[in-house]
Amino acid sequence: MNASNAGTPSPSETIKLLESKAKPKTFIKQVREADYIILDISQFNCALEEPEMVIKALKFQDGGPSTKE
Amino acid sequence: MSWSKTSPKEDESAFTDQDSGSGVPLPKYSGVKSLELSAQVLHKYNSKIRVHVVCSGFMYGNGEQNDIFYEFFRRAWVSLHPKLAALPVIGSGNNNLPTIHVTDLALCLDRILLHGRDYKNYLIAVDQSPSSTQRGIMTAITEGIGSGDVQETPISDVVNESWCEFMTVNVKL
Repeated sequence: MNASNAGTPSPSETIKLLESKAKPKTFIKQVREADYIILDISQFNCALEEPEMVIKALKFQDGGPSTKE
Repeated sequence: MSWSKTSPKEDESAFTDQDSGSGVPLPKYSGVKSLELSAQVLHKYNSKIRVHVVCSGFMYGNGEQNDIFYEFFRRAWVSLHPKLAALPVIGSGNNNLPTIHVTDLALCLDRILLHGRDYKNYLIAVDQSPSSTQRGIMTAITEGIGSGDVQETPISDVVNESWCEFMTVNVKL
């Protein structure tokens, strides 16, 4: 399918690789803009730094809590 | 693994979504548990966020990285030597191992993404297999593709195997 003719881009064009270590600022920005986030921590030896960073990014915006209840 | 060290209920019934706080992990998986708890309270900080923590059983199916049963399928399939073909059962083998096919777990996540509001904050995803004990699973594998034999093995003989800690979990979900 020709992308220029399509109203919606094909999935391959919408996939972005986020790098938490190499580009932390972009990573946090992209995470906060996402509609859905799936954190897969089911791998037995997976590093938890990245999911922790995601939770922190969603919890605090601009250095403080994003919304208080 | 956030339920790996949980003691069984007195009435031996299964833990459900309602028992979300009851899970006790092995010390090496305490980070997973605290991450689950942090995620569950996110909505208190950001009201726009809806979080669903999905606790799944041991995954099997499409050869994914965590397939702890791979070694047993391999041994049952290729072993000609009767001693190797007989799959190990640690202890009595009556411990409950929660499992889920990776495709079923993917379907669960798909449903939560599409109809998330209908689901609770904490969900347990396991299959309702009749062979949910260690012995039942091993017997099913060996009778399905192997010699049909299992051998009771003391834990001291297999304590260094990577699958040992998973096969000795006893939690009914």
